[in-house]
Amino acid sequence: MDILQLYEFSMAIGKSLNYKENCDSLLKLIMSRKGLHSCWIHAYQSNYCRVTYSIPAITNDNFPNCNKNFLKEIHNQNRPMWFPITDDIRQIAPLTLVSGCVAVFNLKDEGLLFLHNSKKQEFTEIELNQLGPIIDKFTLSLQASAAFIKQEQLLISLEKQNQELSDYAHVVSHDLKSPLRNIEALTSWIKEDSSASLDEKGTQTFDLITANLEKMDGLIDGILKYSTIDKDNSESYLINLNDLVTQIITVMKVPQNVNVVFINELPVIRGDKYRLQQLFLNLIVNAIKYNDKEKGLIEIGSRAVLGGHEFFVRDNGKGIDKAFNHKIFEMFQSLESDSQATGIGLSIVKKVISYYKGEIWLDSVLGQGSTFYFTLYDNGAA
Amino acid sequence: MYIYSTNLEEIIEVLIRDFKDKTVVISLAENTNFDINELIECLVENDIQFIGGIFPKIIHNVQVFEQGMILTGFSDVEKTFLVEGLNTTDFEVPSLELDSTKDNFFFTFVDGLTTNLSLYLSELYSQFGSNMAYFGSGAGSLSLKQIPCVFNKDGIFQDAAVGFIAQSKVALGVKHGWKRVAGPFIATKTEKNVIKQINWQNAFEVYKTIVEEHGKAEIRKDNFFDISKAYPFGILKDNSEYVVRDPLSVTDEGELVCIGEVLENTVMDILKGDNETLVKAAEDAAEAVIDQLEFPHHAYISDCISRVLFLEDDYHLELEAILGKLYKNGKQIPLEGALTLGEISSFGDGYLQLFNKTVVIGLFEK
Repeated sequence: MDILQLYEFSMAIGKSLNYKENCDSLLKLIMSRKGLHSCWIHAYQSNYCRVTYSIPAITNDNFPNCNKNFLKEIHNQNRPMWFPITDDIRQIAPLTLVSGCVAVFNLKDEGLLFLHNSKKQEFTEIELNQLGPIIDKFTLSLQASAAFIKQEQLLISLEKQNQELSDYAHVVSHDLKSPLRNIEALTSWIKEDSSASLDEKGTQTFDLITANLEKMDGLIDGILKYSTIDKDNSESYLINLNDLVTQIITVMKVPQNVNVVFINELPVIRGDKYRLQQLFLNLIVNAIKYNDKEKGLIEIGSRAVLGGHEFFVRDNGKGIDKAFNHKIFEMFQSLESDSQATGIGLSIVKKVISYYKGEIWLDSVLGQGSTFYFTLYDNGAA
Repeated sequence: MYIYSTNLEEIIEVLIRDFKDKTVVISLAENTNFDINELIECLVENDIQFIGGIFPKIIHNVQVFEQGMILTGFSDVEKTFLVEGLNTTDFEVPSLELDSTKDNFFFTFVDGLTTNLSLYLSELYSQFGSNMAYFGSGAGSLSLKQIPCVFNKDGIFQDAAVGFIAQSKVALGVKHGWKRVAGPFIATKTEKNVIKQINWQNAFEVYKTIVEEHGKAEIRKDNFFDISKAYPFGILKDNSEYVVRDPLSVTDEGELVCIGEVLENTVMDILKGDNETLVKAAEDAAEAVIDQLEFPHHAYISDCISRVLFLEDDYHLELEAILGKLYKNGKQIPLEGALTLGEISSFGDGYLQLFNKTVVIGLFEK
């Protein structure tokens, strides 16, 4: 019977990662089978006394008069023990105890477990020894519960921070755009009104103001795009990438000295048109912008890999120093002092690829050009 | 008090006359030809405090009635309550700041076929602990089809419990008389009140082997309860009576459907009883309670309907044995109650349990 009861107890451990449900599952069973009257877990901390679980439930889990030293003493013993109901025990009990005895088990960092029987005069050594390994296993499950709670709290906090960041980007973008447009309008009015009296330096200054306003407008758009590109969980659908990239090239202003070619036919994949547009657009724009050759060449191609496709966008431009290979994907990182560069384009590319659970990497030789490789997997799309 | 009449005026007259300043517990037999909502309306109009339940049959002293109602009065009631939604886990049990120096007790009627009956009991214990005695009965129909079966001033409810907390000295007697014939076994796969596997094998196959060996009769789906009523399961506890679980039926998959929850990996025996030991157990329960109170006033009995189905024509012997022990100070203590779908008791001051096939006697001073 003892062995089977221990089997019953051990099977009730760790049925949930929720702390209360985990305690309920084992401790209610022990109470029922052993005919106990109450039980509680005292969190062991040197600076406070706190009850984290109890049957019956208690309304106040703080004990200003709790004898912390006595709890510490029991905890330091590190073995199952039992005590008759004395004033020492009453002082640390969260419930009113009149008679009987308590068995105490060490739960390591999770504190001390007290089991109370109001009818018994003592817990036998055999009983304590039998329950000991069960409670040790229970301790491990409580540690798992504690880790799970921490992880959950961290996730909630992260989600909240992400949301706040996204909201912030929206608000900032919206609020900055309006005064920016006003400045742009006012500047152009002043420039028009004062065109007769403006000398060459004055005209250059106004052009500089306009260029900076355009850059700021681009930055705001980029921030908004960056902050929202992985937020909208729109459904994925089949997209012919050959058609999509052809459309991008058609609508964008490709300089006459630059030739964009497909090395092979791009595949049809599952995804979202807006994100994939942003992905290819930013890579092609990047390849055009940093091309210093008389005859610029941009090659786009792909190959099938296990579970998806690997793509590349290759140019014969300036190339990127190996030291900056990772830095270029960070926000606001522009390797040249180009007044129009926002440093957001490749960050958006990286974020889109991360959204599809793919990877991006770079192969580049200074002066000869760069190849951006990236993967998109069939099961990566939402 | 037993009332056969269904005349509302007569019932109200009796209640006003004999139960002044008391909270009345109404135990109504399910075959009573009666509009329960009219009764509730009438009781509310006359400002009578009450709770009630519908049961397969009701008990008055040594008689069992299929129609009519038992009216039982309780004094010093501190709070009456209704708990709804026992088919979910979101229900809330009542709360009350109790004077622990007084003798408090908790009385409840609960839908005996609701899903989370065990959870209701453990939540109650979590709320009030061992500072008071608990007594209760599972209400419902003998057909074992769930019906609205508990009522109070707000109406009649299914998947619910009604009850009250009052002050009085109470003694509780819990006995069943079933003895082990085989085991222990482990209920290795269960879901609420359904045992799917015993010892990692099909539950019915294991049960059938044991029961046929002891009963020398074949057990099939069509005669299941005729035989199983004599072979319940007993959940093992330290130094205490078994907690009995009644297998009612078998599914096509060989799963055993019980009244009351059986947790997965529960260790249990298969039990058997005979008329003599069952009647003796009931007598012992009465004997145990009568010595505990100095001035007992009345007794309420929650006796499992399946004991009647098992004892059949001999059931009156059980009530006679109980009543025979309920003498104190030269007076016969009146016995009232119901035949129930599950019995509830805390064994006086321990963890709260749901029983089957058991007799629970509550003796009250007020």
